[in-house]
Amino acid sequence: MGLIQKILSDRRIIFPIIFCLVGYPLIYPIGLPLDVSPDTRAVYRAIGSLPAGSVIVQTNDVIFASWGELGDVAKVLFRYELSRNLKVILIEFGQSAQGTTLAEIFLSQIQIPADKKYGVDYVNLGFIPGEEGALAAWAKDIHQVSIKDARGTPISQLPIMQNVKTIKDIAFWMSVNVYGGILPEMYLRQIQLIYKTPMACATIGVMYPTIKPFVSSGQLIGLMNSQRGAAEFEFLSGILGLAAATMDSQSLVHLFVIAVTLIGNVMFVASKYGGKKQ
Amino acid sequence: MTPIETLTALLSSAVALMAWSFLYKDNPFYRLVERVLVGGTIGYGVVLGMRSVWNRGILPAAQGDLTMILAVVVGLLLYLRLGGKKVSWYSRIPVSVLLGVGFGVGLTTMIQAQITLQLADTMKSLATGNLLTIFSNTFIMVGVVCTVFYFFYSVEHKGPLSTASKIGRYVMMMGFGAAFGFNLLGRTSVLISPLLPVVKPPGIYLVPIAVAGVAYGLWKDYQQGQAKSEKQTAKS
Amino acid sequence: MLMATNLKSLTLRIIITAIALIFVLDFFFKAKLIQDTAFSLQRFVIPIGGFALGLGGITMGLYYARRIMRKDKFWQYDIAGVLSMLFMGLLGFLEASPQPILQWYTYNIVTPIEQAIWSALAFYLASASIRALRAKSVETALLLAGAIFVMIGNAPVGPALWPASADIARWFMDVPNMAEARGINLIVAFGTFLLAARVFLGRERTILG
Repeated sequence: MGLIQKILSDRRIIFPIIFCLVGYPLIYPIGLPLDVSPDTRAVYRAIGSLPAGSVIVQTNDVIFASWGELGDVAKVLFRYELSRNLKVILIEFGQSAQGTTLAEIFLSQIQIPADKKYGVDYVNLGFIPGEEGALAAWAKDIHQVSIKDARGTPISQLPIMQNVKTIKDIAFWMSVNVYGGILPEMYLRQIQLIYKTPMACATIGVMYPTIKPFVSSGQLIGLMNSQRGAAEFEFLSGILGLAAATMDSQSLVHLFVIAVTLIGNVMFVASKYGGKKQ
Repeated sequence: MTPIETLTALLSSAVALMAWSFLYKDNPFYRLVERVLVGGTIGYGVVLGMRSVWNRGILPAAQGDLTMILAVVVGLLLYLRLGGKKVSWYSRIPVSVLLGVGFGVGLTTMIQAQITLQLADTMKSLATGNLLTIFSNTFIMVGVVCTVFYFFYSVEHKGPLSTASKIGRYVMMMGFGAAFGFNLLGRTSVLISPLLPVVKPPGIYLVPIAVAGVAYGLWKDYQQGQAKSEKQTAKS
Repeated sequence: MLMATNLKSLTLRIIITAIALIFVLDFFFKAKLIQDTAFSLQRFVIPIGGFALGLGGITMGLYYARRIMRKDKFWQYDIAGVLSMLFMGLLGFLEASPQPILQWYTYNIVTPIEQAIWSALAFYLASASIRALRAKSVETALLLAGAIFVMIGNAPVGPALWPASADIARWFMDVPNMAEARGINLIVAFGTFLLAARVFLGRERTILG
């Protein structure tokens, strides 16, 4: 194996390089350009076209580990929905119940406009176990299934929920989820197919290909891809956050891996050709 | 920065660096934070699960909701799993209920949502659009059919069928390569979040300590390697 | 004993099939009795799901306790696991909303650890790319092509360096990648039907015993 290949195969060299490539732009931003994908643009347009006062459900089906990918997505979507004067219901049907606390944490972290009040303009209905069965029941009778919000307040006492009784009162379903092959399909079956509620999705990078076919078939309006989707949405909405600032790190790491891969292949071809010549 | 914020930043940086120490090798710091994580996650799940049971199960049951009374009783059967062999079988009853509901609710809609609509989108017209569109639609149709066929084991993949299976394999290889790329995007995103408190004060003051720890470990490994090779030389 | 096992398996099969049948009837016939029964069954699973999370906690707690009592390898670290579990549990049950200490512990201790462990794969992907992504055959060349195009498309700087890369990457994600994903999604959907058929016919031992 060549010297360069040996160096680049050594984890003691590669790992610190990755740390530096990710860390450097966080301290000294480079400001590389970003193009917006049609799928993210479709989500932006769909949410932006909803009339003021419409109710949108944003599911927070995330786990602690995925918050790095989906935290910025959840924040920018929420802030955009509030800026469009939509009523936002945060809820979790996932398997781990971790999204509920993360939702409460991000509500305390972001700057919510002074005229937007909890219980009036947005609410966190918390975690509902039981997956598809619970979702189907929730869609039919929200008050009987949810009963209380994540803070323990009966939802019948919350002004936002006064006119929201069933899924038919929901104008849009935005699923932010880590469970790529399970939850989006569950929502497609129970919400989009039966009640024709428009739906879009934001998911982690590795699950993006699994959900993409549903965008092509028109079942999903759009699909946001991990932190990159969040950066694109921040760019479109003008609501700047952390995601756009971290794209420089993404660029450097991707370029490094591409370079290393190409070097490896060039060396492989060279050694093969060199061996044949001999 | 307030003292609490400083302590928070230091603790967050410290636990992240301790978790990343696994990249070097398994060590006591990593083992400690891994147990803290697992324990914390489990404890958290129990709390949220039980709270949900209380709010949406026990309270309505206490108000006379027959469905919830029965559901709570059946749900408690799950814990018989921890009992002896004689009673642990009863824990399968609530699992069966979950399965029955899952199958019933899911299967009826799955046919349309995940099969017919997907197949309809696959069989797009090959006569409309420009050359690229026609090529893309053909690629999708052939690719999907061949990928599905690759997993069809009821007949032997011989002759033309083996070609279809091969095409399916090629399409899947492209997909797996793409999965590599998407995985890199996702994991890099997850890397950035815990790194943020580490790259600025006060977290950055822990980095030299972490680097010194790894350097010490590398030096010990080198010494051990040297001692091993000296032993082998002496033996031979 | 065989008969008892068969009877138990049959009981479970009847439960699963009967419940599934109610939903199938609900899908085709909109009769009030069936709709109400279906709705009740859907609500039924909510406490069961919650209890399942609790079972996970108890099982894990017993696992740690056994390891500590037997003084298995690295048992000292399991004490930290138990303490962390108890800490989160007590905070969750006793602390009043909005539970600031629980949120602090979750966000500043548990989350960074989990994210750091999850992000470790990024390093291994980078170090493996020089050896794993090699065009040794047609399949591996396609694997390499897929990886390269997607990485160029995902890296925001890709289109800045090579303008056509954005369109090529997008085509790759919309056509070959989607064809593969759709094929596998279809297989998974068919597989779910097969699993359901196996359960209804009593041939699925892992569930029915």
